[in-house]
Amino acid sequence: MAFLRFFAQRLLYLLLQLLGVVTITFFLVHLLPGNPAQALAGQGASPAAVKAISHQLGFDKPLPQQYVIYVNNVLHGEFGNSIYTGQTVLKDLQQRIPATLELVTLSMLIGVVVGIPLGIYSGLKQRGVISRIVFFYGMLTGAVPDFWLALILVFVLFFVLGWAPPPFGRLGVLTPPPHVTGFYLIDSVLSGQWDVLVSVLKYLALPTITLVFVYMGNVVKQARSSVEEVSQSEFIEYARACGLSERVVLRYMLRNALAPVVTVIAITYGFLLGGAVLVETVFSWGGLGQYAVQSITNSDYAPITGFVLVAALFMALMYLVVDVLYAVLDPRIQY
Amino acid sequence: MKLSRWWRCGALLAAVALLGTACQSSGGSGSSTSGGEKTLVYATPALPLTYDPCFITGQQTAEILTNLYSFWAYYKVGTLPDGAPGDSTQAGENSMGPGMLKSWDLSPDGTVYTLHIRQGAKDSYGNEMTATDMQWVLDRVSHLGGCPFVTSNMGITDVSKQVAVVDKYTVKVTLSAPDPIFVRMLAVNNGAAVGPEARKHVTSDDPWAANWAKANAAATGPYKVESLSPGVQMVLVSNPNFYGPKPEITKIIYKEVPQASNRVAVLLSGQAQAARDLSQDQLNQISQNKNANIQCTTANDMMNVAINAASGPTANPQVRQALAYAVPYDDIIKSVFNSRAKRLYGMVPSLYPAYIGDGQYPYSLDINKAKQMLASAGYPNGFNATVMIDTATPEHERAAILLQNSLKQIGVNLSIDTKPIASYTDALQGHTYGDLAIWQDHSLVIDIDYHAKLFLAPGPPPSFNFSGWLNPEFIALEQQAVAMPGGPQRDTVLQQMQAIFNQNVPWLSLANTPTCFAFLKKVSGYVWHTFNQVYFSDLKLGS
Repeated sequence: MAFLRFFAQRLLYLLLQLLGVVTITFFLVHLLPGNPAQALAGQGASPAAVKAISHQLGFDKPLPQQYVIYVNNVLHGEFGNSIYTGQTVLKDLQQRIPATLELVTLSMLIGVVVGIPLGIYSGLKQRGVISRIVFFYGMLTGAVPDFWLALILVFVLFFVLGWAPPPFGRLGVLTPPPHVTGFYLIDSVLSGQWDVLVSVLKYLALPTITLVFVYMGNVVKQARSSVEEVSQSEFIEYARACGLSERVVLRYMLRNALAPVVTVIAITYGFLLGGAVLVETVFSWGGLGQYAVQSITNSDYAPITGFVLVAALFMALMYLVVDVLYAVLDPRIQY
Repeated sequence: MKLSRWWRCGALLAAVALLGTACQSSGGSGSSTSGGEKTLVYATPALPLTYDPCFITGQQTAEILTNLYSFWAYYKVGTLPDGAPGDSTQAGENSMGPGMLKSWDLSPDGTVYTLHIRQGAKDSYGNEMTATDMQWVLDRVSHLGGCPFVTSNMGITDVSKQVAVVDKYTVKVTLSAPDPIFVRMLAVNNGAAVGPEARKHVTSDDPWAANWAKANAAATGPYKVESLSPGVQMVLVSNPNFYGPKPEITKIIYKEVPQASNRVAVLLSGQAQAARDLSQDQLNQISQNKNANIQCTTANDMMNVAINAASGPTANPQVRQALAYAVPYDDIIKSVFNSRAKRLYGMVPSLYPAYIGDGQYPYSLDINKAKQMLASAGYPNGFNATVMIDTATPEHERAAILLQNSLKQIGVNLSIDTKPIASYTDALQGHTYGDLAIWQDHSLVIDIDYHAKLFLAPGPPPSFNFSGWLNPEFIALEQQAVAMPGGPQRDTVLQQMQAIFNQNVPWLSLANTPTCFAFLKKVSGYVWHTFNQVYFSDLKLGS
């Protein structure tokens, strides 16, 4: 019951947070330089034509009035239309989200599967060779920008060695599998198109390696420091003194060390939804980040606010999941 | 410890699997020829944003629409001064040949055009283009988005009164005065022949089918859209209903590769056969590769420096003249454009009909003369100024640095103000950039009066008259030329306009800049067109 109350409370906060995000984003976006009506009108358009387009798009209304209309639309599930594609922002986002989620999720999965064991191991064996390598890697990931690594990988593995596929997005020039989920990995399996699956894996490899290399560092470092801290704590010494087996001690240790790691994973995952923009651009990924950048360049207001709202929602949901997982991992936390 | 071994093995296996996947040969990309069908992969920084010619934004949208929609008329293809094939522009209205229109007649007084539509020309949905459809398209153009300038430059102010359907394939347009660029306006992409299918999607709320046309193309040109994956690629295939010959390359994969260095990489690796929007350095790199080449045409594109003619020291014409004597023209052409650009002598490049001639533009680099003129203008010690540039265009920065160094010699201390594209465009069109601003553009219609009306039009900002230069004599001549039939008298007026321009220097004419595309050597047939876009139907793909 207490948990349900907590959950409801968090959902209410989430709504308020989103309202705040909508408000700030709306006004910030409208402060951006660039007149979309002028851009749409193109070369040779008269001021009257620009004014007419501005009226047609509702940009000539006072900003507070535009804001009220926008919030009202959002409450009804409408994020507006892109002034260029003519599609609803929701439809645009639906087309782009699977690309980003597939890349980010796969990268995080690998980051977790590889990173946590590495972090734990180096936390336990602080003087070993692997531990030193992990320490160096942790330092390196803090200094290597993701887009730089992406460009280097493309240059070396694709251009020089010819081993990797070109930075042509998710599937090169092959036809995508029939749409079921939008995730090519899943859709190609569902449709039994194994050649497409192989191609999808190939095209996923370089961007995934980039994201894993750069962002797994957070997971590794957090796991390592948590394990280090917990392994030196009194209750672990007490457990050992009581003669408990190393397996049991390790279980105690992990249970206590993993909570902060979960936080880091969730934050990194949430961040990557919108933060992988440069990697998406290098690999022509066609995901959310690329969509947001294109919308900003074109002063296409509705997609920008729609993107920020989705990213904020995703981030807020990640925090919610973290809170729930905390309760699962750490029984001392009561809601 | 057992578990540690598992962790080590797991981590190692995962890393090997990832690298192994990445390092298998790529396959599945590049050009292909099967059963007579040829595919070309074209690397572009962005995909088109709309299919509606009335809302063209960006060069990529323009390029795709140029290949999807037929124009009513086209420039005839001839030979450019450098020997390359390209649109023939010198003969004015006589430069034009058929398109969706089979032919046209002009009444002796120059006010009535009778336009003959090709019989049997259909859009990609199978609807035949008729006179009623053309009338609707012109009406649409006169009302929608950024299109009305097309009909207004054709002398059409009211389609319902001036455009009449004579029979199924004949349209009559009645003008109040001769229009010297009427036929050339029929070759402007905004006014392209949108297929009759669009008319079927008219609603009471959307009388011009604008909502439908944003996401659907009733193609009348050589290609139609097969598929679009937003942010990834667009696939065009040859349009079976096109009235002209079937293009040799039957499939175009317009592949979004935002990173310019990656566009070079995919081209040189053979994964793409064509690429656009590359910097001069990247073009140099490609030109050194044995399997690729670049096609650069220096025709109608210009790089200029807008000068604030409304306020500050640069409002004085003598100061502007002094600045024109301090521009390192040759250095810019050589260093910024690797000698692919040419001198721009005045307000238009030399391919314009009635061009006044190189010799009439007196300005070349002469620091002493510039100093003297600046002193006699009341600025013997020079002044401080800013030059605004677009961060996205590396050529801007290089030209600005050369300009900065040169102007320093006459006491003008130039600071470079770099702005991202949206701010840059706002400041340029709003005339709020300060003293100077580098810009690069071209006219869609190769006519001096059209060019003047576009880039030197009177009227408040925002406008393309970036310098805000207003000269009553120039404006009067421009308005006179609008309604004069083409011929020697009009040419004289156009030359007078150029002379006034040269005398007043509303902008610094830095260079006649090249339009470049990169191709693999097995791609041939490129032809320069006034829009500075690739017509895919020109291209041929060897094995």
